[in-house]
Amino acid sequence: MPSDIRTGSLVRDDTGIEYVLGDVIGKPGAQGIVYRVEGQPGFAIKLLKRESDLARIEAVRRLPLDGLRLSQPLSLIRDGGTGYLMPLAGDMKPLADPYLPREFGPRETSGVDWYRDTGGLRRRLAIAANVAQCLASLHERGLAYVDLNPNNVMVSDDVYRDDTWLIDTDNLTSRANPKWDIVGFPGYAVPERVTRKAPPSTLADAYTLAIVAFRMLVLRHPLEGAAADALDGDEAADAINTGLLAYVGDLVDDSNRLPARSMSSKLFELALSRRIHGLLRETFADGRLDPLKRPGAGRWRDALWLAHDNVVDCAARCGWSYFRLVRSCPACGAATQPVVLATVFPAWGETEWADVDPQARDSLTLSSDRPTELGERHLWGAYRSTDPQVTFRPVSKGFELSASEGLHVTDGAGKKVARIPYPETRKEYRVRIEASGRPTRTIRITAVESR
Amino acid sequence: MKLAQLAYSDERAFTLVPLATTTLTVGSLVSLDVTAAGVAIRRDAEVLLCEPPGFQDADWLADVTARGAYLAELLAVDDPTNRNRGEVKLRVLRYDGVERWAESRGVGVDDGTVADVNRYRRRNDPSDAVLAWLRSQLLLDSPDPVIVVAASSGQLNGAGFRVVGSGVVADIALDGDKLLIRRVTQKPRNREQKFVLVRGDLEIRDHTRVGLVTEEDREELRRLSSAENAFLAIWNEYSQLEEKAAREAAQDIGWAAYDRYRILGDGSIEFDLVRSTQAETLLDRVGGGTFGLEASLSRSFLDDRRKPDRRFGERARSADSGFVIGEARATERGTLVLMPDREVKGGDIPDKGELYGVYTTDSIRIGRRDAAQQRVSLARTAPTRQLSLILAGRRPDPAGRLQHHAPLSARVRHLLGGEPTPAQVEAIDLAINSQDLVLIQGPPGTGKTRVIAAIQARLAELGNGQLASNKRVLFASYQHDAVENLIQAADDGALPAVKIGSRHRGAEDDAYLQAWVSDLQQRLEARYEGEKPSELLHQLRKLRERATAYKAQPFDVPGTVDLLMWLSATAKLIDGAVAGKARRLAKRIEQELGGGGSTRAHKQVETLARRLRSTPDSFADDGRERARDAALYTPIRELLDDRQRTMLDDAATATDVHAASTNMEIIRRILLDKVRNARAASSIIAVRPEVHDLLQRAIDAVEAEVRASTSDIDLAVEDYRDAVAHQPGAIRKSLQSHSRALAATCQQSASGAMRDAHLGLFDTVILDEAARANPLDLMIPMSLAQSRIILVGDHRQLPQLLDDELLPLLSQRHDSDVVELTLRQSMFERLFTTLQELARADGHKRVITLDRQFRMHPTLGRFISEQFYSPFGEHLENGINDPGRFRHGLAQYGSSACGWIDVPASAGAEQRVGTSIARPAEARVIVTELVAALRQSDELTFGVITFYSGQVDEIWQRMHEAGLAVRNRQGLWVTNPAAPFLYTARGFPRVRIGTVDAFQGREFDIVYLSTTRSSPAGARRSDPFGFLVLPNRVNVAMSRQRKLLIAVGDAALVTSSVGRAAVPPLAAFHELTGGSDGFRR
Repeated sequence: MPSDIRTGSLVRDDTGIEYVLGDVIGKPGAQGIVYRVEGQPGFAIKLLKRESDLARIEAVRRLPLDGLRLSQPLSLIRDGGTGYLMPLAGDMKPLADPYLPREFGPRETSGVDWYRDTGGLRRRLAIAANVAQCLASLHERGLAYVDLNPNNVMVSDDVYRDDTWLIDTDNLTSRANPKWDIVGFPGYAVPERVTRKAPPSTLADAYTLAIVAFRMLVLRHPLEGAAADALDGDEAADAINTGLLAYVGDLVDDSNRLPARSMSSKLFELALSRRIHGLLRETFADGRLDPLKRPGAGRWRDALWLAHDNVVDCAARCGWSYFRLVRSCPACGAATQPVVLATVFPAWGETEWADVDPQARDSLTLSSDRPTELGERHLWGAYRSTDPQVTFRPVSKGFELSASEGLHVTDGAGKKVARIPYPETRKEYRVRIEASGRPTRTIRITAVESR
Repeated sequence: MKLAQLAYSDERAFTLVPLATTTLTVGSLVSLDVTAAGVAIRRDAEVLLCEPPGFQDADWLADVTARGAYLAELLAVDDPTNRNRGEVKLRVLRYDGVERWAESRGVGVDDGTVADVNRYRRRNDPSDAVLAWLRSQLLLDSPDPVIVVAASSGQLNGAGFRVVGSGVVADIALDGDKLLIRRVTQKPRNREQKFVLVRGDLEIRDHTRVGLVTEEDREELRRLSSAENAFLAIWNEYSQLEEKAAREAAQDIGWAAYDRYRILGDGSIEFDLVRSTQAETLLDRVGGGTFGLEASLSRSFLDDRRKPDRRFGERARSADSGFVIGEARATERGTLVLMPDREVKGGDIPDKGELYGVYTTDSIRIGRRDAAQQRVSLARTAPTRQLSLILAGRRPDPAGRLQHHAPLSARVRHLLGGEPTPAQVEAIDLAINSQDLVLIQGPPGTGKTRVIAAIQARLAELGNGQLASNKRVLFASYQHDAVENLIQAADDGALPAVKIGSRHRGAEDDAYLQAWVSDLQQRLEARYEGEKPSELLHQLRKLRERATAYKAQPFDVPGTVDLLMWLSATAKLIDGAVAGKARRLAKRIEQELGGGGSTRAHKQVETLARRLRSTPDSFADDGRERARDAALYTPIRELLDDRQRTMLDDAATATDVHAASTNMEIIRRILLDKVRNARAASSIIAVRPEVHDLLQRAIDAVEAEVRASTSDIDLAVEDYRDAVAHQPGAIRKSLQSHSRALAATCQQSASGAMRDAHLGLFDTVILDEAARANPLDLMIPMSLAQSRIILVGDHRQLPQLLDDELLPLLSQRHDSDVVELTLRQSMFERLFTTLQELARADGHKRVITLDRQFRMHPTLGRFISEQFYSPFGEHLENGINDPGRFRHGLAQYGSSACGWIDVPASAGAEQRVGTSIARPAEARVIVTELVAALRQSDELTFGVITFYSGQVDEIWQRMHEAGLAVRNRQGLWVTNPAAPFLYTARGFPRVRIGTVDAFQGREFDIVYLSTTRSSPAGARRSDPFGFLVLPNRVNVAMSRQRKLLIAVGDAALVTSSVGRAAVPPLAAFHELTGGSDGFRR
């Protein structure tokens, strides 16, 4: 690309609109530079280093990627530079250093506060779940993302939000016609790709996804335990990338445990739900060198969201969030208050369900500070739409319910329910959710205490 | 006043040579001793000897000093050691006489003086400002007490004298045992005037009623009028309960944080919300409608400290404490646009903050009430002083010296129409001459709105020549409708009164003003339409507006195409080249980027393109069918050029699968690329350089044309037309500053918008329907009166509205009888009875009842008077005694003015409907009677009145069954628009049905009153009517008709002993119907 292109340069896209390049956002991969666009906070422009890459972008642009949180090429730029325009919210930053400790360098140990100030467990789970959701829907369309790494994941700059987008769609590839050239980003590599034994695949994506999730939550690579620490830096990196070391949480092989009393070892206990532990073992113990044993991105998505929905805020408002069953805040020790739990059941009527219910589709805590939204994923495990289906809005002494259009929230007698009181301990309320063309659901609202 | 401004008979300046140095200071007054040896200048113990002046000067000086009638001022002192000879400069003022006062004399300033000074200065200052001004005018600004008096104006110690000031003279005279400044006038210019110097102190004292109040007095008053006053205390508590309910409601609405806002062209504010679940919820709640929201630094109901400063009801101006309330709507971009209830500029509200359910209005409402009470108890103006004395149960101050203005003028007579009644004249007289409060009781049909208009017109006449803002009238009433009626009624033919503040969604709020403006606009239009310079300027302004708009906020593809087409049409006559270019560009953009236009078409094109077969094998399978599907879809054809279309068409019948499948791969790519481009173009909105260039070229061309063919006058006319047509705000503002009357609801009398329109107090405050306003609200406009408060109302008609849910809460804490009594009594009634008693005691009249009614048949008028006014010593006469003027011409009712149609208990009992009751039997009878009467007449109007909402519904239901009523879009009953006989020739409905509450102020030719109560004997409770049938409500119900009142109901019940005791007027009415003017059935 011409060397005189920089912030302030003018480029024009194929549709005849001129753009002034803004600040550089990042240099994901080696192929180009991403700029903001002056006066267009919702867009970014990536200029390519090699003009020949444009053909590939043209092809990616034709892929059916609607509805994904993926910065797909919108229009092509040939005038004033070579590249493409993509949608990107103005206040997003790459998920690199601010959220993940530096690659294999000295661990940032500002510790507890830092974890909290970057959004805490709740936000980390939400971002990881968003990445998983995006990958899962890409995989559903027969495409692999190939180059997942922290520079390609853009998240809201505002720690109270968890919007997540994947950028850099240059390397999207289909199983029918895979491209071999990307081997992976250091620290996020997949063994069979580093060793060039297999082409990029959705299962390779799933492995990287597991690394990203683990690193976000536990702040380490899942293979970076005592055994890795015993090796030299380069040697350790190599061993980790090629999958030669055991998983830090391997049930049998305890050669590579996390160093005791490190922050990561505490987070390993606190930040991972039972289901996530299971998925991690499947990925890094059994599936490390055998891709077919790895869980897919869809299972990661479900597990991460479920974990996210069962996180509560510290009652003393120290800022930490943690799983609702933990008895007291891990940071300040304040006792966990009873939480209001909404549990989604497949149908209506039965009352003999136990407190923890194997039949339950999903369960989530209802916040008493802000509205809690139940979406398609809670009610039917679907991800087509992110619109809230039922909203529980805390009001004085209870919750106000509102439902999306076409959805009926009723009590047992068929009367519309618009408000439920705050449930006292050992009391429960049930509402019935009906929508045409979808299975009927029951939501039970109870107040439960941590054990 | 400076010494230089002091009046004198003669003056001279001297330059003397001093014989010593001195410490005398320049500017001080000195005394002089003149001898042959020289002049001794003295001040206190200091003496400076000077050489004598020249001959003539020495004689003059000797003469003046010998008589003592002089003032000498040291102008300059040069130290003799500094130069060869120093100099002393003196100015000596001679007077025709001198007088010494042993002690200071006090002269008073009373309300008359204040009014006089304000009239002279064309201002409307309070007494302390007037006093300060008088001191600065009349007294010398010097440690030596000196005043100048005009010698010709009588003896100093006699009945009066005239003090000469710098620009005015004040005539002082004895009033009783006190000296008062009686008149302040311009200083006469004649030189012949003789002046006497007075060495002595004149002390100007505040003798206004307000000025006589001491601080202790005030404190006592404040205590009496707030804390220990049971009346106000209960009202205040009621007010607090209202606030609490409001706070809870606001909390439930939700909130969102915003991190940026813009003020849009129409004055609305667009907020960028920080995305969060709360924000989504709030956007949800707002939905497609509008919602009252508030924006400020943080939710106002969370933080009591941030409430507006209650002492002044003002809010601090800094952005962080700023807030705005308005109607919010959600945009597609997920922002909220708030149309504020006041004008907001950048920096008025915090850059980042929160949007949430309106609460500040409620806290402001309470705050305004508190502030008003405080103002009243501070008693800074005569009306508030009197009000607080009266509320505290004390005797008001005597009115003092008054200038009396005649009540009637030609204009007033005209406005009253016909010969005014003595009571009307007296009401106007009391009102315009009042120095504090006047209450006008206006029973039904007594012409109270005309009296209000007359008062306004007369006050305007008396204030003629004064600035509008100094003699301004505030009209206030308890709700928006009433304020609008008041504005209409008070039209004195000059500029219309301007209503400040609006109801929530009221579009017709400014109806009166809009009518005035549109009239002006039409006249302008008629005058200037079609003149070329005007059209050109019009065009230029439009072009500039569009160009600016395009640069600031570019359009999407369809918008850009529209803009170009408009440009092409507009530029046609001026620059053909630009017009052609615009048209061609529009076409190109539409073709290339339109992509079939809609999103749905995009999707369909994409689906069909993806289905095209691009390998030989698959093409051989179903490639032809798929090519044909694509070829038949119009948007696809429009996206392709001829060659590509042919490729596609050929593929539908191709035999060479290799060539065809390759072609299909090409077509697919082309289609997908085009759809993607169209989508890009519709998702990003940015300036297209070529569009911008074209706009600029068109502007240049029109500007050149304008320069060639317009004058400055054309420009001015065009600006004016533009202002009238497009800047209603500017017209409104200018009316606001020039109109002699502003109007508002009680609450909004203290709003920010009102303060913007009129700062400070109003000369006169006129309150209509005063008996219906919450007393705490009523205090708000009352506290704004400078000279007088005029309350108009009738406490024998409907009382104030109360939130019945709050009453039980209050009764828990207080004796429920006291609560009931207090809350049911209006401030109007309380003041009325108090002032009536006072008038009996001291003869000063402040209340008047308009005692002649012109609405009703004399028989009915007499009935109303006897039933509702006589028991209280009030009396209502008939203005029109000729029954012939009230003929209704309905044969079935003969010549009766009253009637009773009995619906006995056996016809059917009352039924409970929710919390109300209904009686279908009566409803049926009424509708039958009504229909018959409607069909027999063209113009008669009918009211159907009852006390129970259940019965109102029942009657509408019967009307509906008779085909005379339908429900409108809001689900409310209205008369059937398809039945012409239900409307007058001018299209107004002839029938209204409702409870009493909606009917005060209305009148009808004929009224049916449904008494509704009836139940089988034995089942009757002791009070069969309940509180809905209080005398006030019965009064309103029975006084709406002009010609005929027919009661429909159970006659046996109302004439039973129980009925007589519960509602005596109904029993009396039944009796009346047995008389010569009545009928019974």
